[in-house]
Amino acid sequence: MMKTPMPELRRLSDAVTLHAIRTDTFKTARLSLSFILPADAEKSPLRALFFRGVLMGTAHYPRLSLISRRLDSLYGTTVFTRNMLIGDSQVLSLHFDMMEDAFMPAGDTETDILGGTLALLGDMILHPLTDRDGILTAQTVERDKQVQIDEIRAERNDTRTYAADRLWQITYAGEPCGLSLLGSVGRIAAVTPEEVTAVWQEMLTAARVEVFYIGRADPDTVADKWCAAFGRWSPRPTPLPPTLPHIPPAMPRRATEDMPVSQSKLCMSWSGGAVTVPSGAPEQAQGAYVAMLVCNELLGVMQSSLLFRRVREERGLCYSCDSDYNGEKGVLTVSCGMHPDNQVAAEDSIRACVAAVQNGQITEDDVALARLSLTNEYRRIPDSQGGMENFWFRQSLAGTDETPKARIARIGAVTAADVIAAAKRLREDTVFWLHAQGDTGNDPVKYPDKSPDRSPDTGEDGED
Amino acid sequence: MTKPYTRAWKTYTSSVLNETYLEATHPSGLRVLVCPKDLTTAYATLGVRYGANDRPADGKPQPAGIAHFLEHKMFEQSDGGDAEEVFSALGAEVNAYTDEDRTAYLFSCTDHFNEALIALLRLVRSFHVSVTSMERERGIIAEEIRMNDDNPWERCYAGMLSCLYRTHTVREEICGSPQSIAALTPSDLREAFRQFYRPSDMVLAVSGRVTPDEVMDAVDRVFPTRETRRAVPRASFDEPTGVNRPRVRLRMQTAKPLFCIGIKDPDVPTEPSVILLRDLCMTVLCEMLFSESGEFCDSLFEEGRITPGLTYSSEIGRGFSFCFFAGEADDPEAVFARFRAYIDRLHREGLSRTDFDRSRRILYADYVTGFDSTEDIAGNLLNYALEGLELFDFLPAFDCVTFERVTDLFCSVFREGQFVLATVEPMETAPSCQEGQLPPEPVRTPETSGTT
Repeated sequence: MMKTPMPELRRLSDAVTLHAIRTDTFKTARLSLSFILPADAEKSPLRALFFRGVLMGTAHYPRLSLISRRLDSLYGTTVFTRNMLIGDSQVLSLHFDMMEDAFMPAGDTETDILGGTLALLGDMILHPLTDRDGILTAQTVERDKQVQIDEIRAERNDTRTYAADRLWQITYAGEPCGLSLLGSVGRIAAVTPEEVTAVWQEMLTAARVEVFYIGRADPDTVADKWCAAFGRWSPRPTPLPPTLPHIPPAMPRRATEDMPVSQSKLCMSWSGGAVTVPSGAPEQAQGAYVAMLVCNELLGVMQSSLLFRRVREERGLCYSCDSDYNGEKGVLTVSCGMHPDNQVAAEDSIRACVAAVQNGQITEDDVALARLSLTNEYRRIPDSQGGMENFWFRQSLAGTDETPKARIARIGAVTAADVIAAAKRLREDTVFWLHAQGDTGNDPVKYPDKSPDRSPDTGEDGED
Repeated sequence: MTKPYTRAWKTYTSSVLNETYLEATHPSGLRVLVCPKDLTTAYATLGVRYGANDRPADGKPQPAGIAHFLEHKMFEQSDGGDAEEVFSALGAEVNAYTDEDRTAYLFSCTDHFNEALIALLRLVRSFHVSVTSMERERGIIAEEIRMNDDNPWERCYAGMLSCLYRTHTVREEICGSPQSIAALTPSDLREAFRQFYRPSDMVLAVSGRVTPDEVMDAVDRVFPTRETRRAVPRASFDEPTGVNRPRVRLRMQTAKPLFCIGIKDPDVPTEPSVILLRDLCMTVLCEMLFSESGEFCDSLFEEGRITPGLTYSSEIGRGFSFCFFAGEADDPEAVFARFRAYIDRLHREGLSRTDFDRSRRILYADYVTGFDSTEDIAGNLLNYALEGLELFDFLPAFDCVTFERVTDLFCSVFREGQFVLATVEPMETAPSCQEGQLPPEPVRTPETSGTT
């Protein structure tokens, strides 16, 4: 196994640290800047609005086309943003992928891809389009509002994501993370430039900031170029409140929505699972968390997961059925899409899979496969810039310095009994149905016998 | 175990990229490419030159979706088990996809590479199916079709293809339709396997911490070390150069109207090096015309006529070539009118050299960054090999991407009569279809072709 390089740290200001991983494995370098703030139903959508705007115009590049041309001139450097919830925190980040200088065509001695990218990043964060009073310009805020409103309205276009988002909001209702990151149409329509300016200023002064670089440049060079782009910017971050424990309902919740589509979506959650713990936490807590990760892998992540085998392959009820685990809240979710006539069968079948693990109807071989699958995920980390960035960012946020190698060792110690114990903590929390009302004329799926009969049609043709 | 034949590995090296790969043809006819790479994840992909568009030249009709259905059923083993379990036991992740002109089977792993490679090779050497499992798979694929049916972008893209093409099978859904897959029998699949799954019509591409000889040793264990028959000839396409119909309007669950403007290339080359050069020139041309850096999108965006995040691409394959751009707009007809006026002006005033230089630079960077992962490397090796090309053929072809060539391409393709507009409009606001509404046929995009 290739050793996962550890980040080298460089202090960029009192509260901003560069995590630099020097590697010549790739032809592309990754640079990112993340703001971490408490999730806030009022402010979070406005932060998203500000981030939307910085990609569409800055003081130096006041139009989308000018930013885009600048990126093109840096050999097609690409930028993307992330806006997500981790625990009860909101993470907003800008990520740049840029070709390494070493591969520029011969003859180009002028272009400084890293320096140019950092300068553009600094421009986006520190110098958005403002009026004389330092308020974000009304024209651009109005434009960004319209784009965000369009995106809110378009959430229903992607039924799979929409159903997962609805489950999230119902499961975490009343908790800081149980919000809509984009807000409501009404709220965004009413936002003023002054309000967006205020959240921007709060991000600059009070957010926790993490900077990552993975590439060939020396960390000191990256730090120097950062300083050239960001000058004396030095936030004074307010400590993040700890993530609150999830509050399970007294009885499992059910919610249904109708939509004129042809495939129903089912999303279910179970709460009470072990949560992620920082370095130094008792061994038992660390082991319980990793056992839950193996449980999730076995249930709905690995190639031949229980859900895949039983709901798709044996019953033919769906095309995909998988699970996910929110380690900050201890909540497991399962999602699936099926013909409306198969809704009851799918829900029962998924519930039976979870119960099977809880009741110990798994073998050491099943757990060995899950351990192997999860181990591979950690072994692959050094194979991509994004993998390393994501792993070390999460570690930094969780306050742990566990390496992939140490995590793999911990996974290797998980037994079937540990997985069963992890599953037994789970209690059904919420069921969300997106009920398809469209009529495509397709017949529902029948439930064939799972035994493989060798009929006269069975054929084999391997001869040439 | 080494077979009694001489392995003639040919080495390809690029000093510009600092990359090397090797190629040899196995006696069975299988073309093997290996790019050693010091990364933990090894990746192997085996492509069969048989995709959704292919039909045998004997004229016998085959239902749409047969190649994709066969891909699903190739995972069934002689004992009724699933090959995925074999890969799982090795810690390997296996997948497959069906495209217009190929079916590919692939896996990645961090250990047990040789065993997983043998499992991959065995996957394409025999075919087993039972009536019961056939019925179960029909249900799974029906759900895949429903999933695509509910995606307005995929419907819009399919609408565009149905406008561009009159007879070419590229207008059909890769997964088929509920009706077409209902008609498929185990015998149909077995016949397709027999006709098209031939080693001489397959390519194996591997990248990772592997040696060429260990790859060929695995091939020796599974593939015959003698020449095999080639696949049956494919039916040719008798597609008119003009579009099928200029306009289609669909209605479904969507928040805002979506549009997809397609441009049909009337002149589809057949010689691999010519296809590559045309593909590169078309890629540059699309970047010049449709990117957010360009004048056209800049003006539409600043006027609030489109939402940021346009999608654009060009596609070229056996008997078809087109490009498109797609996005969201309150008034797609107005965007279409602006597009035509813009093209008309460019015919009069010429393309921008600045845009050309910018777009060419991006093309180069995209190629270079395709060497960052074993997945990308193996995938690109396969893409080039299936087209009868070598991966490093890009570099001399790139040198031939000149402003004059791109201008010539623009003049020959971007002409009135070659443009179509497909829209998906919200159910509650869209007027009745004037040009005929498509039946709810399943749809696809190049990015999300059918996968297992």
